[in-house]
Amino acid sequence: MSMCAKQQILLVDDDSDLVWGLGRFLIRAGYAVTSCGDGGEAVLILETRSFHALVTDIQMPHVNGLALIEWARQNRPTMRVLVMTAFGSTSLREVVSRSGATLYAEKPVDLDLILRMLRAETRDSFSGIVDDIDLFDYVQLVIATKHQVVMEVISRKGERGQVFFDRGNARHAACGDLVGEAAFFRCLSFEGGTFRSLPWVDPDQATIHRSGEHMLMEAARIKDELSRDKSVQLDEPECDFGTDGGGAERHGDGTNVSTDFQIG
Amino acid sequence: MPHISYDNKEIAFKLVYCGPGLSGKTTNLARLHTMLAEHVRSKMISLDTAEERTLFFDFCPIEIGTIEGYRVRFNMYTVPGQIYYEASRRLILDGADGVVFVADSQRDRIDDNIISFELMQENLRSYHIDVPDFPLVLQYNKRDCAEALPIGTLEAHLHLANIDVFEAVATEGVGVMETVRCVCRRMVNRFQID
Repeated sequence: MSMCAKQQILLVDDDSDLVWGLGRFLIRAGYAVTSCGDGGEAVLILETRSFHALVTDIQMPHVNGLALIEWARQNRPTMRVLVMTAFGSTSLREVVSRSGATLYAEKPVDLDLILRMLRAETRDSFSGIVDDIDLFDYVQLVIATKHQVVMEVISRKGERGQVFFDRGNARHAACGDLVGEAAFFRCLSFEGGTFRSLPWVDPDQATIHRSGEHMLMEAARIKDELSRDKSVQLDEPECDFGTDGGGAERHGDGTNVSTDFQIG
Repeated sequence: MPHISYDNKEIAFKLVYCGPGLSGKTTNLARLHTMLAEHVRSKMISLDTAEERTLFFDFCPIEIGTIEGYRVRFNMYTVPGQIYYEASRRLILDGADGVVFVADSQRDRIDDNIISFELMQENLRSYHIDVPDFPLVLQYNKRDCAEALPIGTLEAHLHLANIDVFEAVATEGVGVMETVRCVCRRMVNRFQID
């Protein structure tokens, strides 16, 4: 990257150690970095110079990161905003996502992820916020468009999972202690939450081998059968105490809840 | 509207087989899969849903050629009939470009056919699909059964005017290809007119 092509990054954090460490990392990665320790200072700098991206903390002494990213959204709508915080919460994540930030990362930050997010923007593509979308619809779109993307899903209860989509197929998923298909199905069974797309990185291992569409259909089937089982249990709260009958036997409808499949 | 992949230069239509349980939806798809040449079809995938299997596969019929340089692909699905398969039904029916309703010709299944058709209409409407203007084909399956329902019975009960109707014995492959050809042609025509 030549000097004149260097992209400008504004790094805002009152933690001087972090500014020094992250700043050096970004400079070595080929960026020109300007730093400051408060949102107010950052606005003054942003008013006079243009930047490729803003990387900011939330908790700062005078003008905090939320006010800064709101200012940036209003006044520098094309600038990429990456947010770091040591005080993460589900509600803060949601507020940050809605503000249009590209990345919400909790400290200690994953330096490679920040770099991937900064580099991802060079592609000829859009980013944005989508509200009130069914996760199945989004996954269907990712599969149909055959994109390579890492989708991070966070449930309302704070449970978190990642699915690695590789050109129409899910190659790997992780969610808590689960990996592979079980993790994929778990992520798609979340009842509300947020998701975001992270730039592609090869997973450490390939744990899913069925096609993306097959996984999606199977996830829908499992979700439906779980809801049915829940509603049956609600309908029959007093039955079967002291028996050793399994759930499927209790339903007595001969339904098959096996996850077996065949490929003809 | 079909999914258009600008990167892969491909237009994918979604065709769904609906109908009451055990009317022959999966048999239609399974027979069709065996009739298609291997190089134009994907593997058949089967999920064990209650009572019957849910099948899907896709194929790229060479005879249809391309639309404005885009290869045409048909994604074929059967939809699980049980009420509680809501997420699955939505995943399959939402965005459908065409539907084959497989009716059971046995006389004692007439009510099942009607209920299933009305449920399908309701589902399509909830996904903002306007049935009167939609590629929908009615297939009377199991024409080899004793005292099969006369053609026209369901059309009269369901007030279906000008619907394409086919007779089939899916277990023997009779009428399977004719049905799919008709609905595929209608889906492509509708897309080109739109």
